[in-house]
Amino acid sequence: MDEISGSSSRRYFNISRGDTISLVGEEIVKTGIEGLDKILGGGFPRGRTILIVGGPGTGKTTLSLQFLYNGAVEYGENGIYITVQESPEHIHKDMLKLGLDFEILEDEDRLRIIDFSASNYLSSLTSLIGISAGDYSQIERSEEITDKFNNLVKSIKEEAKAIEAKRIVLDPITGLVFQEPDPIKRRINTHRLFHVLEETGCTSIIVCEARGLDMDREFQADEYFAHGVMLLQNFGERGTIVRGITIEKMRGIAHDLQPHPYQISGKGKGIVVFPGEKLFSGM
Amino acid sequence: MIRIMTGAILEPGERTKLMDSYFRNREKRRTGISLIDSLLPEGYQTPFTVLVLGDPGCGKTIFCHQFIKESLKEGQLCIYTAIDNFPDDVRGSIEGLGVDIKLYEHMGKFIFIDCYSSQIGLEAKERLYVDSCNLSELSISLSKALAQQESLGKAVLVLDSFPTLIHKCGLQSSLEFLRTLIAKTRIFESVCLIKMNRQAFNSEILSNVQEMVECVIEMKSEERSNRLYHYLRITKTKRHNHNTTWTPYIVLSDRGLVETKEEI
Repeated sequence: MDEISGSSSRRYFNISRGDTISLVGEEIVKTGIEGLDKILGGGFPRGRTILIVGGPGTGKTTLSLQFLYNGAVEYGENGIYITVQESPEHIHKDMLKLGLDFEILEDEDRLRIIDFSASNYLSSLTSLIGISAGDYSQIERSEEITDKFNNLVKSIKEEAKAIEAKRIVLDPITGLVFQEPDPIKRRINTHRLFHVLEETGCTSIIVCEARGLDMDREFQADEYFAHGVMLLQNFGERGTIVRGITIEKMRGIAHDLQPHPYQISGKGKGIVVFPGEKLFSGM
Repeated sequence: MIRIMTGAILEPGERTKLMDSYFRNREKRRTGISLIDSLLPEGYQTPFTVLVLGDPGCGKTIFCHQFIKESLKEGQLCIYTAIDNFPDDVRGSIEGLGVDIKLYEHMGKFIFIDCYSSQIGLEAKERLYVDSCNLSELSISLSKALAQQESLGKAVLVLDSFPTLIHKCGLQSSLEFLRTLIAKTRIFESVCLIKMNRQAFNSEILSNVQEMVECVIEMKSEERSNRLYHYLRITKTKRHNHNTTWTPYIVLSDRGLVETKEEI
């Protein structure tokens, strides 16, 4: 039996080892990431959308891709990765360095990448509306943004259905949402995105970039739609970096509330969380 | 329910079981250092955290090396956290006491955690190395090293030295780290020596650290007749009888601390 802490109301309970557990009506989906499931109280609640918030270099993409890879390889759950920033080629190369071969999974149709990265988006859009590549000012005013968003929603539904996906990652929401200059439309689009992900029945991760150590998000509303929020932070400590992970919110799950240290290790490991260790930093 | 310092969660029943295991009768050990054994006539039991508190130059470091020597002879796993010196310098000093340290390293019985090389921008050669400013990483490395004791016998851990951590990481973080380290020592039922200069900090900080540990070995130097005289006493031990008399000793580079009958 793994002993998992309760919340501040001092609830606690036992979790038996196994792929999934039932807890107050929630089925748990293991991330398969060393140490992370322990502080999550078993894993993510199935069919829910979790927000991962972190600054540059905190390992948001690595963690998300590990979630998909482990799902396909360890738990037989196919996945969709929607990339808004990195090209699929870069993702393949970066993950191979960690020993995660995404191309094999794609060949076997256990994982699909939807490419909404800037390069792909710009080349299709510039040819469509006849503007020069890299000229974002014209693009942001364009009605084509709405079309692009509609295409994304359509793609998510189709691809998830085609491979019977159980896990989806959107990385990152920040770039996608900020292409829409109108704040009302932006909020509607965000809400729509969360709704579509839940409709697929998949357990989803949405990656959100934070600006700095104080974890200011560009756009706060997304958290209110998310079922859970996980923070990845780099603390600068006298010339060195201390990495800490905190489960800020996870509805229905009695998760660990303390920040814990984590490492981004080399081949075959990726993110490793240390649930038995305390985070020492000036936080 | 209790949350112990390492983050593990215990229910009340388990807590009692754990505390019982602390206090139940265990084999009593001797340090093998006659100067200390004469002041601890009944020996000691693990877990045993010892603050080695002394004036500069009174032999704190060589005492830790002497303790390592005797522990290796007893087949214990020794972990040395080198914060103030290169591991090779520590190797040299322990070898000077007549220990084939490389043999023990080859057997996996002696492990270095190098926190020194990174401070001066050099690449560490040890398997475990960490920037001494990163207490989280140091704590993880210590756990990895302590986890070896399951297969390699009870561990003896040396933190050399604690004041450097305070200077580099700040007082509050360092004290919190020390609390966690002591909790780990208790969970692993091991021995931990914490080296500290007694002149480097005010009495408030020193008494704070003394409160945390099971045993305090205090060492002082006095200058008389144009000569330094060294004295040692055991100021505190929990659950063990001890002699609190200041005992004179001399420091020999090939033997360590040796009790002297010389009239002082």
